[in-house]
Amino acid sequence: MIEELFQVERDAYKDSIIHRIDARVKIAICFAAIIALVAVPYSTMIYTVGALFFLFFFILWCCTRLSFVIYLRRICAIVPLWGIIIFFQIFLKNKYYTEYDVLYSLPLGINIYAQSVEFAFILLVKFVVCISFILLLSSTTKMHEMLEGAARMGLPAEFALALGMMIRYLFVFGYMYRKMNETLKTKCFDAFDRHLPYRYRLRQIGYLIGTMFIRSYEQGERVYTSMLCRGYGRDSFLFVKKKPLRRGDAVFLCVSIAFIIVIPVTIWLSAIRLF
Amino acid sequence: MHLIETRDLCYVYPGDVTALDHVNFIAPRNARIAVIGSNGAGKSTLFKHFNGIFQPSSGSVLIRGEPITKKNRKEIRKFVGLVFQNPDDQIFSPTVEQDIAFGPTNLGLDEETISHRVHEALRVVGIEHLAGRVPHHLSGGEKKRVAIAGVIAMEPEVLVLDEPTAGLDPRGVADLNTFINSLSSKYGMTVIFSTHDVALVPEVADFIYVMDKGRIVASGTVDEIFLQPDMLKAVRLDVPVLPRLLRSLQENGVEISMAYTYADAEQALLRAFGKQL
Repeated sequence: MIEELFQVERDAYKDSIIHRIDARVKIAICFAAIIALVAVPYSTMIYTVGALFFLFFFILWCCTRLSFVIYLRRICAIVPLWGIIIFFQIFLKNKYYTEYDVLYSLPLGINIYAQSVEFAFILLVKFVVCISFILLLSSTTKMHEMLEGAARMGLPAEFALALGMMIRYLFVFGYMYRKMNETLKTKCFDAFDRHLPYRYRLRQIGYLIGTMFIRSYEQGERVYTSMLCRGYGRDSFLFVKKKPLRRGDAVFLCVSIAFIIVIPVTIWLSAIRLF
Repeated sequence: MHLIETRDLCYVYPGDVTALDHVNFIAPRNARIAVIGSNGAGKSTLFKHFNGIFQPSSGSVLIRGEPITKKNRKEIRKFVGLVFQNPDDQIFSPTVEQDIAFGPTNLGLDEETISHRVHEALRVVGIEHLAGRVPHHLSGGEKKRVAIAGVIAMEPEVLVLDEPTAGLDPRGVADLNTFINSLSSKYGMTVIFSTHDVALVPEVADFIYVMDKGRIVASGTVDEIFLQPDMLKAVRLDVPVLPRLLRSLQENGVEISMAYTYADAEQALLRAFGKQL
């Protein structure tokens, strides 16, 4: 997971037409797409909207010059998070349907309903497309630029400062974790080595996590002291310079937002369906 | 009136660990002061009293003749800039530019002044090219410079550096020496730094405090301190290589004058061998 963090950063430092777009534009498009998808009613029209949005995302991803395998790997990495939620929907009734047809009956009175399966698919489409836009944003925008963009868009100063520090120390602890891991490897420790007693391995991993916590706490204390040395107080905020939006970025933003608004509205009004 | 003065300063850590024991320290204007001592001597603890991070258990700390109070603390932290040993403790913003701007922002300056100070600090430390970089992409020496620039941007009159050479390569140490000297000669700043690298001291200090177990066991000019090898050994330090060599030559009958810096030692050796630069 830590290595993935460094990989995301390496990808964000690559160069492409999408990488060069102002972070504010990418944030706005990402959020607009998510809001639009969430706003689409729970009906099968989401398949059409989702497909068109995914096509839009796919075109943008192709322009990033990043491999599609990277996208697939990242989306799979978060499957356990959202996959389980979606999977369990097929067993549950929900408020969007009045009648339910049993597709399969399982022991202990558990049923799989046709309508629940449909609902799970709708959720799946919404999740996949939303997460795709988030992946596009995170894979093509440097973290500090994303933060600066958010601050310029009105993210409260308190959040910007805290998030800025989080970004900074995410990497500090990433490197710390790497070093500790290297130390364990130097001492020939492998958490999956079956020759070592299970309890011993567990204890060593516990020590590793505990050390990380203690070092985080100590680091936090030292950082706070150094912040005080530089006049930190209630009114402190992250310094972000003003930056006007370039014309090209503004045009791209307008076109994208128009697409994101027009597509769901048109499909909803005209009842056009691709699937 | 001294810029910094401590009178019988004592500090006890929780758990009844005495870190400072009746420390009397004076920092005049435009001075270069080294505080030397082995690990755990109390150097860092002393430094944290200079800008009100630590409150004395007893005794007092006077900045420009005034004690540190809640009211003047911010002003004092602007006046006394403290650079920590580990730059990762001090660089907490996502980019170098934002980190250097942190101090000036807290002083309530306007955007134009902040930008000016940031660029000036970057220029003074010689890292203009790093402005847009993220801290975790920098080397140890570069991070150290960023940490110093972050404090310089607050335009302090006293710069306190805790173990500034720790983790630097020889070139980094040489650059830092030049930089510390320029702060004093060019900008009239008082520079106080701690180290246990005694070879560095003659190059960048006019006055030395020797600390051991929370006490100041000796203070004086470079000559005065390095003429006491037994005292230095007793506190787990040593005389730098060059004066040690020259003393050995003197003891073996070579007529040579004592020198502490590289340039002075070179001249002394050339004179001793009848050559001129």
